[in-house]
Amino acid sequence: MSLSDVASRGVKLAVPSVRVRWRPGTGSLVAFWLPLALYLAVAWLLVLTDGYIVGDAWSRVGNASYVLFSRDPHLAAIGFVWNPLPSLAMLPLLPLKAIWPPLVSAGFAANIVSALFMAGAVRVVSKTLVEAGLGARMTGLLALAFALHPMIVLYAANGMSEAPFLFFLVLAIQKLLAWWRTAETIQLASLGLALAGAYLTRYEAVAASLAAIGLVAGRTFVQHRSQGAAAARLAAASDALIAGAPFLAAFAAWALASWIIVGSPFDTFTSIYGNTSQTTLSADYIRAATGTGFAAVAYLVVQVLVLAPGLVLVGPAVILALARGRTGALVPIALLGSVLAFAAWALLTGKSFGWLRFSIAAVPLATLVAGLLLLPPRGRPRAVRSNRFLAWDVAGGAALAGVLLALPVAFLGMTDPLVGREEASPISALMHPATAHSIETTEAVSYASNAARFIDQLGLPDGSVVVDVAIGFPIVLQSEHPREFVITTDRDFARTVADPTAFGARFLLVPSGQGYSGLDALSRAYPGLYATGAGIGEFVAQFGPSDGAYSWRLYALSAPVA
Amino acid sequence: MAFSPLTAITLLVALATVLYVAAFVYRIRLFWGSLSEPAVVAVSDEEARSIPDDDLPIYSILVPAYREPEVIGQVLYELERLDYPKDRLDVKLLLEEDDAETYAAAIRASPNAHVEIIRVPNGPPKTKPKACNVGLAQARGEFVTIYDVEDRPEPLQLRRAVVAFRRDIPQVVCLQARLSYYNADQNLLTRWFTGEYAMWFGQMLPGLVQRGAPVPLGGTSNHFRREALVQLGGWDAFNVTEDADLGIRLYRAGGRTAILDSETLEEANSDFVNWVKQRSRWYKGYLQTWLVHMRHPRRLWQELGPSGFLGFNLFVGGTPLLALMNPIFWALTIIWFLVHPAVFATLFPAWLYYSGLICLVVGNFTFLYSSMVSARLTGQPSLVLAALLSPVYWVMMSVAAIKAVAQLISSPSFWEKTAHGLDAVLPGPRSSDVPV
Repeated sequence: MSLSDVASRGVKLAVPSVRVRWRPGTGSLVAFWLPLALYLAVAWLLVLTDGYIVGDAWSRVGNASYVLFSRDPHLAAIGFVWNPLPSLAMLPLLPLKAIWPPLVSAGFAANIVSALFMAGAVRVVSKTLVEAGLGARMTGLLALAFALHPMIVLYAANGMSEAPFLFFLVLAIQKLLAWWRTAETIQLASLGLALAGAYLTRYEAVAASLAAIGLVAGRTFVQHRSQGAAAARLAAASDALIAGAPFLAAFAAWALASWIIVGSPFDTFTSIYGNTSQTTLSADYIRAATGTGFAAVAYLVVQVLVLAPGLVLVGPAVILALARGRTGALVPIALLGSVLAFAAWALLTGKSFGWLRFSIAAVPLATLVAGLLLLPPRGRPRAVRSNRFLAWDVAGGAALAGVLLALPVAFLGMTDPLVGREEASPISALMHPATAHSIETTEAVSYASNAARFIDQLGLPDGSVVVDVAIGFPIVLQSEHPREFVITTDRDFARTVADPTAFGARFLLVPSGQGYSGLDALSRAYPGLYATGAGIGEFVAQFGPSDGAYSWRLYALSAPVA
Repeated sequence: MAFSPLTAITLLVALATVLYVAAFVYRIRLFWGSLSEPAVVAVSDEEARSIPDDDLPIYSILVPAYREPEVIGQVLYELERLDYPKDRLDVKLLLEEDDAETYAAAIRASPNAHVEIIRVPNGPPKTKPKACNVGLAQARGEFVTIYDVEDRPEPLQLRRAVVAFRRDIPQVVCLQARLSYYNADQNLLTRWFTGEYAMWFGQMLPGLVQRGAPVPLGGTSNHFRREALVQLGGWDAFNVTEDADLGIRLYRAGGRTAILDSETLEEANSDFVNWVKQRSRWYKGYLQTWLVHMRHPRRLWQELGPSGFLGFNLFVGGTPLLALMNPIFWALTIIWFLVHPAVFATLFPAWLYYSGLICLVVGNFTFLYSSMVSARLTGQPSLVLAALLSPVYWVMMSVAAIKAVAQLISSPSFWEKTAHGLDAVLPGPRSSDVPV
């Protein structure tokens, strides 16, 4: 018999036992729950009262929805044109559509996700300021100014990916600043995970990630210089790896998945539905709005200053901070500044629409820079006022003024249709709910809704109606029987488009072909389909006026050969 | 109900995936938990030194050795370096009766009075735990610990352990010091091994303590209240990882283990074949321990509680099992990428395919990344770069796991001896030139 039987025979050691009690976290959640309530209320007004749905946000709900509720539910249906995290974050909400259909039919899942992430960003901004040593009252004021900034409120409410993107960016800043202070490895690892989250939300995160990795490597190198260049390089490389590995892995995994499934590693640049295709198609419109060359630079400067007038101080702020030994000021400037620089580069090289939202990083940047300037400089005795610190006080005061001034300035800027090209109309919808606004949105939603109801009433079996959801998502998302459609993400979509009747399809649903709807897969396969039926379809119904930009036609195919 | 072979395989794959996900989630929780809130017992140098010599208890040190004449002087030198009054040390050098050469070397080293050489009677099983039991029977200390012959305990370790024990942390009867290696930079294998130990003793074991799960002890530098150890009946002489088994038995009997913030340096295996032998013994021992304690799963559940039961299964059972399963799934992945066999669509229904895929991508990355983070925590940058290549190390683990299972069936109690003294440079004196 082995000795291990001793325990099984019930030996009990004479030791007292204790119960470990669970303690809840004591951190205040005011910086999260109150903004969340505000953002959800605004989202409710915007989407459910005013009927203002942002197409991009809704289409992300679509991407998530196809994963669960399409004829061919599979994870890859999430699509590869846009980075997946916003849609993935919606997945847990979608099954609730059985209880509350607007989650999908009005895309409200996107609004919930953006409100959650933006409230999270408010929480992170306030934690960052507290951890940096700013007093409670000043932190509260700055966090409030951030939470109530009109651009932040709008993008918290409208379901776009700006909210998760900002959340991960400020989280990365919080963790990098914590590492700056404590040199703890866990902060470096958390930074790495935040950067990966940012990348899985938006491509622009590449800029912020490279900036963060560079800062980490640089700081470690400087700190280890005394051990010799080789040792310092090794230490810098190892820290850069810890900070960068999750981002690199996310980058590689996303590109690899895209490459395996759709045959192209960076679909947003190569897909006909991607960003490159859209900016190329809209080049004239973009140039008219933003100008080119010097005019485009001026346009960007206006955007940034409209959102964050305090940023005129960023130059003196850097100099002062460095002079006072607060090198941590480099962190928000590098991470958010690189995102702004990336936006500028993309616009100047014709890869971007130059929307105001691409400059949204200026808002947290101004808040964090103001917070760092309001900190008492290192080595200053308590309550000592002297000329030596005058410049610091002036800069801090000016930065704070800039942050507060941003609220009215940004509001005015966003209501100007030239600056707030995407923002003016939802704001007017919020301010004047009674008047007609955003005719495009209303039309697009209502024609699609008519189409969905008409098709639902036909009582068709699964896979009867072929539609390209890159344009037609509002129809599928408003349908009560989404499985009646053969959609772009279905693995049999391409072959069904090529020979619809052979694969059981009975109808083709085709957009008018104006604007992006010219990218429609059916229109490309059968030129003239919308106008004439292209010789394969028989006209059944039309939704919207025949020349409307958001109109649809339903064509019936002749019965399949038995 | 008749199953087709394919359905049976699908079920097996599903079961494996569940095990993977569970083990994966559990390890992440251990890792992140101990990163955010260090769960080690720390005793400062000042506090350790502050106890007057008169106030220190007798401390027994068991040093089992077998056919290691060349390093016996080394361990005596290291024990001399311990900051502990010699008259309160009770060192038992445990040498096998048939091991004349080590005995001769020990006599040549002419150890001090507090070192007693005990000849362990010949006869099966000839294992380290049996030697330790012989030593324990004669030990006089209030506390007792074990060092291997190649160990270099940090000089204040015993004093720290005394302070930690006297803090009377509820139920704690055992303190496990962290083990690490002094020859980390000898080659890639020793870097991997050092990185692995850094995570094991730096995050995994503290994580188990935090989660209230039994801690499989490491082979050396575990400190016990002697009374409790005697009550437990010492070590299982037939188990080849008697240390892991003891940790579980101790927990079942109501005792607890804490991790002591003190390091003992050992020699990392620098040779592939030698490493595989050592690792296969560990895996065999873990499987033995798992099987022994799972003979009565219900009683184990009652004694360990749900959290301890889960931890025991995922950690002690899961470690060798995962190493065993990995090659199968790596092979499946490679085959799928290369030839896309149609049968896979039948084998892997969508839900299973996606769980498997997430496991593959997220799981592998997380293990790789946590080894890098853990290596970074050691402050040795070269370990971080080595950790990048750890998938090769994982393959070696699988080789060892396969060998372990084969041996568990053929010769369960055979002790695969690890050769020591393969490192190039040793700072201390060796065999004959020990200071007297």
